[in-house]
Amino acid sequence: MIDTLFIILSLMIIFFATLVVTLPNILHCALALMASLFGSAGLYILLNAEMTALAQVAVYIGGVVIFIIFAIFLTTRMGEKTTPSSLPKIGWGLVLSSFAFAGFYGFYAKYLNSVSTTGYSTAEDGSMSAVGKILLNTGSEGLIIPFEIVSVLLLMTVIGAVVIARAETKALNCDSESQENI
Amino acid sequence: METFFTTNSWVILLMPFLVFLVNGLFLGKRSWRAAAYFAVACMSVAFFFAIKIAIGFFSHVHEHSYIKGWEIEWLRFASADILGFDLVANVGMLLDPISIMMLVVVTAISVLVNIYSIGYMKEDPSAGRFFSLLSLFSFSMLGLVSSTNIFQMFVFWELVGASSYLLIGFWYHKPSAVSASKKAFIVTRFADAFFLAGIIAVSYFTQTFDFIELNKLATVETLNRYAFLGFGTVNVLTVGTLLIFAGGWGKSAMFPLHIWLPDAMEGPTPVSSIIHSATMVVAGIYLTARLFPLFSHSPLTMDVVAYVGAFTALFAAVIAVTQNDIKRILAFSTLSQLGYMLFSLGVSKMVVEEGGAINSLGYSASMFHVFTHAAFKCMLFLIAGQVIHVVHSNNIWDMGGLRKKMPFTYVSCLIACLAIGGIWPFAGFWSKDEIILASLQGGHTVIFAIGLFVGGLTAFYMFRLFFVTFHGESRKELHHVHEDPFMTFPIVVLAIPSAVGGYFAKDLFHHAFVPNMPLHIHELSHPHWLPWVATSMGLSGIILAYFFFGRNKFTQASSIAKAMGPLHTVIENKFYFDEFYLFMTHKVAFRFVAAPIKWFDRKIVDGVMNLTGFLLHAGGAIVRFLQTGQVQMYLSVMILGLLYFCYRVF
Amino acid sequence: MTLHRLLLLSAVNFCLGMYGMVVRRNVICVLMAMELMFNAVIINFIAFAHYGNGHATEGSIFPIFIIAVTACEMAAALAIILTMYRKMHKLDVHRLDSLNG
Repeated sequence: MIDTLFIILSLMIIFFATLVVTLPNILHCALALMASLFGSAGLYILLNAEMTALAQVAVYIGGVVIFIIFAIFLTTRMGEKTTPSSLPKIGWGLVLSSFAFAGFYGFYAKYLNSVSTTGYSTAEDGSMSAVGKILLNTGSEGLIIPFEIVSVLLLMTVIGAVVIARAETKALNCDSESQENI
Repeated sequence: METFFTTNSWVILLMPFLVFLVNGLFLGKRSWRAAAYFAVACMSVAFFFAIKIAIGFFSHVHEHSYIKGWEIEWLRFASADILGFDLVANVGMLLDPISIMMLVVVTAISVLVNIYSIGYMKEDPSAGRFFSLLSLFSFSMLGLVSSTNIFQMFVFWELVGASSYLLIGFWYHKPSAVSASKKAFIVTRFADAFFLAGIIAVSYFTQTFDFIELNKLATVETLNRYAFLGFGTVNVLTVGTLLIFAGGWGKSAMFPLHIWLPDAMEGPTPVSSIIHSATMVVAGIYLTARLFPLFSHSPLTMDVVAYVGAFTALFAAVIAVTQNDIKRILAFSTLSQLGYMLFSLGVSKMVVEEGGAINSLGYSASMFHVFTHAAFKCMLFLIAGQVIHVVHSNNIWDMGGLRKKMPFTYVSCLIACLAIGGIWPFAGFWSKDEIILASLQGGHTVIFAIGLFVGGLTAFYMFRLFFVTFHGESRKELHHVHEDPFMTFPIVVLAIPSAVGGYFAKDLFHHAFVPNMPLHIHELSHPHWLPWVATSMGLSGIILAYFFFGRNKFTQASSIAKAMGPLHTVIENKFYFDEFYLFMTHKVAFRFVAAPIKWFDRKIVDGVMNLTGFLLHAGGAIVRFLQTGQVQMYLSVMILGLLYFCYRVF
Repeated sequence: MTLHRLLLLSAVNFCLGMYGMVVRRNVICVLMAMELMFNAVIINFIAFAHYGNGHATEGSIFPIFIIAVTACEMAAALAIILTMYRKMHKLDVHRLDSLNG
């Protein structure tokens, strides 16, 4: 049953990921991305990573993708299609990514000998309480310092984003000049 | 004898430096008067210390030949544990007869000139800067004379050069002052380059900078051992001493490097009186005297010293006769007197003796003349400044008839002129008489004749100045003629040593001022006719001056000048030396040295640089097409690179 | 479900993201392709946490950091996108060529 679920989820992830990089309507892309991320969240639960799955749904899907959708609404008119890429470029992208995949495949074929079907982790390993005990532990095993650093990083990014996105009122002349240059 | 004053002799250096800092940073801009009084007070403290040291030293003069007031290690160029020998530059104060004499002279004249400047500079808007720079000069000069080693002396040597430059160009809005200061700086720097080369040469072989060590017989033997660059007859001793002497040559403005001193009169008159008559220009003589035991072992160097001095004495005196600018007359007179001091050192090497014995009379007479000359020449410059202040002109023909209006100045000037003219019993008589006697005793007949003749010439041109300035009728409308008390006081004070200083100091100089080396003491001839001849030369000069200029009719003088014709013109234009130098630098040096170098710089050096730049630019033009600015292309290249990397590694 | 298959899945996901990043012209699409690549990385982490021996909890904590950093990066990126839109009124990557030599 797990194998069946795995196959279904894998197909879902790959299918929607393909849609993300091919669909002409950018909003559809975002929705496909959301679906693909949902699929991976399901996969995480299969792999006993309950807390990661929750974070994926809450932060990734609920925050980041929604954020992207906001950006799309702010910058794109409804039903607008993105500029299609030229064929040589698509070909170049295909060649490059197949090369990369071949590289991965070759690497795994060469080095990954164990094909064990049994996992080692239990459901407790990925549970919220186990993760919280390590994440908020102040001892030498604990990860409290990276955790706090991430919070500082978030704060800094928010400030930086505000500064960058702030409407430039003073430098109107510069703007027109830079437009000419571009 | 170590006393409180010798161990604390650093106070003498500290005081002027303190004045320089305080006046330069704080007082000068607020109130120049406060700056002036502060300078006078601090210099008086330094003078008090110098006098106390002098009294302590000269009352026990036979106990020590020198005292080191203090000395600290400053720079260690080489140390024994690494290079096998020590080469250390120290900073300290060497107190021996000549340095103590110079300390007293410099501090005393600094005090007096500072007082004088209160009157002289009172209408100048930047008087605060003046008092600051004057103290910088005093500091440098005091450091120079009290140096324990030649390296320290060189540092202060350059400092006096710099402060002289700043003070000559004090009125920097005048183009003539700026060019004069540049001239003085460049000419003395030209000579200083040789000085530095001499220091390096001598210290390389002797591994010491210290004066006491350099003056030892062992040093002479060391230096005599090495031939200079393989020339058998010319050894390092001769070359090194000549190079060191070249520094003094430029600083004391000896012929042919004399050209800067007359132009240096563009500075304020107090500056001329302290720097360009009494103290800085005797630095060259002081240097020669300081290293006298070393110099005296090289016959060639001593001959150069003697003949350069004698020639300058004659040359400058001849020019001084024809000049019309009061300060220039005094400048050429200074040159002439410096020549006296210098050849007096040179003639200490006796030519009649086998092996060249040393006659200590020449040395002590030279130092004696430094002392008396400082008094009366400083005074003459101060008088000149006072007169110029009243007349607002430097030309002596604009003056005249000042006798009644400026009685103190008149009497002082008479004393100074008698002193410089060598009339008994004024100061100049004693020192000049000894110089001439020393040249006779040494057997230098030509120099002896020059000395006698220039003595008469000196009296003539000084009394020409005196009669034209103070006698006759005034040739210019003068308003508010008065003698400023601040300016009169130093003149009157200096009149005392100018009048009687020679008589009282002659025994001291005779006994205390002997070079610190083994001497050949002989009973030397002391002709009794010499003082009479010397005085009569001076008197005949005065009578001749009176005959030409004293009777308010200058017809004879001008007719003689006409009769001399072109010769007079040549002399009046200072033998065209300035023009000669201009020709040499502009036409010869620029065209034949600078122009090829410029061509080399422009074509070869710049060409190589331009070629490099061109190649890089061309290469950039090709490579820049790789920079498309397309992010996605960069990304693909990066991925390809990563893939290739992984392929190579795994 | 084996480790091998999971890794291949993540490789496919990663290569799809790479393709999107190289090919798509819209900046937001490029960003979304990047998200796919992050997701592939997270899948790798979780797979190794499950099949690796021990430290399963730490293995599932690291993706949380990745998610947080991604959120940060998204915030900054979207601010840049807004600024770019304000200046050029178009979100074409090809127009970001002011570094052109």
